[in-house]
Amino acid sequence: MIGARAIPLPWVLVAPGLWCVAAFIVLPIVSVGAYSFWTRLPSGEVQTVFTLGNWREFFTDPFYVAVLWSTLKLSTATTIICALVGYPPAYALSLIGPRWKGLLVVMLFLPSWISYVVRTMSWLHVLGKNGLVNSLLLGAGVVGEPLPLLYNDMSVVMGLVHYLLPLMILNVYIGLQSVDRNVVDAARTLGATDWQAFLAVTFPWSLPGLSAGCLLCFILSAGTYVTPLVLGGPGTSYYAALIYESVIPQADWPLGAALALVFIFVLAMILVAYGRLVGMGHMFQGIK
Amino acid sequence: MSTVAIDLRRVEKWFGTVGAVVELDLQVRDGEFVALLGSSGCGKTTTLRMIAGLEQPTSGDIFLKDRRINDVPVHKRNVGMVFQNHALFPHKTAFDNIAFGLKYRKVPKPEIQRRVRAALELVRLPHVEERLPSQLSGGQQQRIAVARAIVIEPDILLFDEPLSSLDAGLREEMRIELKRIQRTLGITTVFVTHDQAEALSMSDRVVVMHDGRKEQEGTPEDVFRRPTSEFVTRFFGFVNELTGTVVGDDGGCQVMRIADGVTVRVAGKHEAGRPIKLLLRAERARVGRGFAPVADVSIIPATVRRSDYLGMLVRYFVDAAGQQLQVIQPLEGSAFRDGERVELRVRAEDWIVL
Repeated sequence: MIGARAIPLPWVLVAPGLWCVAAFIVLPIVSVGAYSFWTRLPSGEVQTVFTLGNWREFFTDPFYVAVLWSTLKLSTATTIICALVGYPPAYALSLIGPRWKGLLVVMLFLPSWISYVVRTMSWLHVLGKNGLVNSLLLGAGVVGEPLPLLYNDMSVVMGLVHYLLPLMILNVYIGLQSVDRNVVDAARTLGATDWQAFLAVTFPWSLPGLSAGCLLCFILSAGTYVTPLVLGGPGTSYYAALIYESVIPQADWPLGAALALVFIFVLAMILVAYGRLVGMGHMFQGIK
Repeated sequence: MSTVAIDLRRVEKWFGTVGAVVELDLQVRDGEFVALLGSSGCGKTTTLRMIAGLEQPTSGDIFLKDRRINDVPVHKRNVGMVFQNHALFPHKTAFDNIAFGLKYRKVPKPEIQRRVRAALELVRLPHVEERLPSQLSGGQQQRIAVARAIVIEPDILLFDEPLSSLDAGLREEMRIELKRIQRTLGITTVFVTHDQAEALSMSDRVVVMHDGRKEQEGTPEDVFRRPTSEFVTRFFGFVNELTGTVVGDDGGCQVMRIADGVTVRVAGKHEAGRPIKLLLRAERARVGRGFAPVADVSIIPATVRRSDYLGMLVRYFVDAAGQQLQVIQPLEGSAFRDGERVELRVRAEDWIVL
C-alpha cells in the first residue's frame, strides 16, 4: 500500500547513492575538518581542544605552499606528457579493425593486473645505478659512470606517466570512437588534406574525451603518494607524500588534516575552474 | 555526342579475398544522372567512394574528363559528395558548413558570402545561416549537405544514399528537389541507392549492380521493361514464375502451353521442344471479367484466393494455370471477393523470357 506521505520514487532510487556520499565523502571531510582544529600533544596524543596552530603553521611556513606549488606543476607536466604520448595510440586504436581492437584494449590494461606498487618499484631496476639504462649506456661506452636517473622529479613524472597513460589512452579513445568517419570524409572531399580534416573534424570531436582524460590524470597524479615515495629523491617533495609523512611516520593527525583540507580545497577550485573553462557538459558529451 | 565525364575501366576493389567491385566498366557522360542500384553489399558504395578517392581501387583506372585520377588525392579531385547521414559538421553553423570547402580553396571572404547565399538560394533554404545542424530538420540538413557539396562548383556530384535517412513523404519531396538542382546545374551526377523507385524516377541511366558486378545498365525504362537477367527482373517488385512449352506459332507470337489445357501467347521466337521459364511481373497482369478477346492477349480462367487492400491498389492472389499467382492493379470500384471466378489477362509482350 502506498500511503499519502510515500517518498517519491526518484528519491527512493537515489537514496542509496546519497547515503554513500554522506557516509564516505561528507562525513570523512567533516571529521578531517574537526581534526584540523584540535591539538596534538608532544606525546602524539590528540586532544579535542580548539586551536588554530595547525592552520597557522601552514600559512606561516612557506615550505608547504612551495611543495603544493611544485606538486601542481609536476601533475601538470605529467598530464601534458600523458596527453601528448597517449593521443597517437588512442587515435590508432580508433582506426584499427574490430578484430585487433579488442586485443589491443586488453593489452592496454594488462599491466594494471600487476600491483601499482610493484610496477612503480620496477623502475628502480630500469633507472637505478645498476639498472637497465645505465648498464646499456656504460656497456656502449656512451657514459663513463652511471647517470643519476632515479630519485628526482623526472623519475617521479616517468613513474606517474607509466601509471596513468592507459587511462588517458582509454579516455581519448572513447572520445574518438564518437567521431563520424563520414564527416571526416566529407571534409576531405571538400578540399581538406588528411591533416586539415583531422584538425577541423577529428580533433575538436575528441576534445571531450581528451579533457576528461586530462582531468583524471591530473587529479590522480596530484593525489598519489606511492610514486614520489618510491621514485622521488630527497630534494623532491610531493604534497600527497607530505600528508602521508605527517599522518603516518610523524603521527601528527591535526596537521595532516589541515594539509589535507587545503589540498581538497585547491583541487576542488581547480576542478571548478577547469569545468568553467572546458565545460563539464562538453566533457560528458563524449559519453553520450 | 556529349563527352564522357567519368570513365571507370576494369576497376576492381578487393578486401582480402572478398571482391567488393569486380571487372567494372562504367562511363558517365557529361551532365548525365546515373544511378547505381543494388542491395547492400553489391559494391555500389565502394564504387562511389573510389570515384571520390576515399577508396583506392585494387586494379583498373579511373578517368575524370580524360585525366587519370587514380593517384590524385581526395582533396584535389574537386568532387561534391552528399553522404547518407548528411555528415554535417555538428559544431559549425549552416553558413560555416557550406563555406567549409571554399575556405580551403582560398576564396576571398565577400565571394564566400555571395556563393554561400547563392547555394542556400538554390536549395531553397535561405535564413538558416546561423543555425547549427542540430537546430535543423532532417530535410533541411539534407539541403545544407547538398548546398555544401555544390558550392565548391565540383566537376561531378556524388550521392551516397542521401535520402535513406529521411521519412517517406520527405523522401519523395527531396527526390524532386535533388533532380531539380541537378538539372539547374547540369552537373554530372552519380547516385547510389537501393531504392528502385528512386533510381527509376531520378536518373537518366540506371546501373544495376549485384555481387560487385554490373548486372545491367540502360535507361530506367530499359532496365525495368527489358531486364536481361532474373536478378534484375526480381529487383523491381514481385515476379510470378511459370513454365511453358512452345506448341505453335500465331502470327508474331508463339503459343505456349503453361498447364494442361491452358495456352498463352508469348512475344518473340523461342526454342521449341523444351520447358521455358516465363516470368511475369505482378503489375503486368490484370484480374477482371469479360475481357475482349484481342490478338496478342491471353485470357486465363482464374479463381481469387485472397486479396490485400493497398489503398489505391489491390493485390490479388489467384489460382490460375495450376498455381498461385500474384497480381497488383489499380482498384476500381470494389475488389473481387475470395473464391470468385475471374479471368486473368496477360499481353504477349509482358511475358519475360530470359
